[in-house]
Amino acid sequence: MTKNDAAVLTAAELSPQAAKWSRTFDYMIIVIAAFLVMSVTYLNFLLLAGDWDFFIDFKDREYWVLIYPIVQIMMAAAFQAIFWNLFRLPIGATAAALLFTLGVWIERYQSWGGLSYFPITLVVPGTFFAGALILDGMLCITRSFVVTGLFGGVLFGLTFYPSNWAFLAPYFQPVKLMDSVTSLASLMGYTFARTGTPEYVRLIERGTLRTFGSPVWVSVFFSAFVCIFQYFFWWLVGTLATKATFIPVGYRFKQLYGMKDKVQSGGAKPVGAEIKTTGVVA
Amino acid sequence: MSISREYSRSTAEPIRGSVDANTKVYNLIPVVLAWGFLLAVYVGLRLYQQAFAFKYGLDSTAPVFETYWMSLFKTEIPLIFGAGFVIWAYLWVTRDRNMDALTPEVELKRYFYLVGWFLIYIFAFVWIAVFFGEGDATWHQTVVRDTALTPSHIVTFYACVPLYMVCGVSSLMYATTRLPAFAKSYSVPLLMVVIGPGLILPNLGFNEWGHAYWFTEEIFSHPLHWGFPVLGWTGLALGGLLVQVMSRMAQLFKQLSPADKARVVRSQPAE
Repeated sequence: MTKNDAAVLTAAELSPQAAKWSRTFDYMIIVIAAFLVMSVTYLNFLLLAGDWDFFIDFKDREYWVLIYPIVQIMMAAAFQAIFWNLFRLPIGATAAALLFTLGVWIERYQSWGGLSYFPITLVVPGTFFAGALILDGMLCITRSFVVTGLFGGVLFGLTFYPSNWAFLAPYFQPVKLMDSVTSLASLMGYTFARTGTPEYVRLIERGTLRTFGSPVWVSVFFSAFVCIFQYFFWWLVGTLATKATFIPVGYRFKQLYGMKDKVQSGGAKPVGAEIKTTGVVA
Repeated sequence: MSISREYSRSTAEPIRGSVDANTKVYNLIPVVLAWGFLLAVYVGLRLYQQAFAFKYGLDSTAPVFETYWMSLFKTEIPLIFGAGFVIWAYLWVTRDRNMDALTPEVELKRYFYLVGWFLIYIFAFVWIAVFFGEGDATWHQTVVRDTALTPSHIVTFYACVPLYMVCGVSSLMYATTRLPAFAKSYSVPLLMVVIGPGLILPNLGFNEWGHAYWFTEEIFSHPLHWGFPVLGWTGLALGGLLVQVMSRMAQLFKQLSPADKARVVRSQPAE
């Protein structure tokens, strides 16, 4: 043990043995936190925006660009609040992005590829790493969730499409199919039919302005706008989730659970409890 | 006396705490065993799907469906909940009936066991939230369902969900029957963490009703499914639960530290 270590232990009022226990406890918490971040981020995204990210031909300009960041910033903000409020660690959003990415790649390989035999190129997932790093970096520098929400929220939405463009661009190559022009992504979609998914989910792009060019930036800006409000709301939810609230147990249940000391244990006593215990008859 | 002088005095003497230096207050072997068991079950179920889902699971009216899938369903439900009732009964019968006499050392050990229960619970939960959850989307977006008890549902909802429910309720029961803070008060975060994800099983009623009468196809983001993420959000309360656990464990660490003991002795007035 170095002199510095010993000084830290003295300041913390811990013996080396207790410090060892405390460190073991830390490791256990890290594992729990990692699984928690992964599972809640994943479940949230899967059932609120999953369809638009499962397949390459579903990654359209109208809804994928809009919904993906709006949904992913929910847990990014909530876990930022939890990690920042409890530990002053600006890692919540990046942890959500990292663990989500880990889970989603395992899943795309073992499930979409392994069980249903779709090619991996059809089920490549999107990513929100860029936005998550910006959120955490901004919180780290400004130490303010208000500034992070206002500016980080906007950048979270704005950076989503450009940061996914690199892997997405090749799928937008035009191809000729039965004398019609379509994209490579759509061609893959036609080839690998998904019998259990209604086709109208995929063919969703509507509007007239897109005739004159790509309106994707309209979706990007709208998404960035909504991300601001999402961030603040979910920061609040994350903050509430860290409240260590106890509600006193009733007297009888307390006794049932093994608490004998009525005074020390707190909780509501039933009317007449004193009479029974002291034997005084009113 | 300054901190540095206190430190030099305390480290010059042999360190002796209120517990023996070799005392083990935690034991991770049960967690490792439970993880190993759960891993074997999940991998086994996934391999079973790989072998028999497309082969015998496409037509629920076929006799082979009854043999390979309904028999699994009829076995796993009583087996998992039966094991759960045994664990819960054991935790209840062996509860501490005099928690006021609990020593700090035993209390710390129990807190470590509680954190071990959380490790088992979250490990069970991540398998459905990530692994079998999206696997369900894979199956139902590929195969047209003709029953609520599909090869995916039989594994995801009727094996994985009951398994993490057993782990969650066991965590709740362990805390309530062995730790004073959780026996004298209901921990709101603990109740949320256990009851919220547990309600995913009854929420299946809505899911199946919607798929039976609204549409048989799979749109994963459809409002019909929003109950699942909403109930999953309750997992965030694990943050508050860990605060409760950490607060008490930090006190116990100090209580069992010789440094703390020495500080108490020094603070007493001289005779």
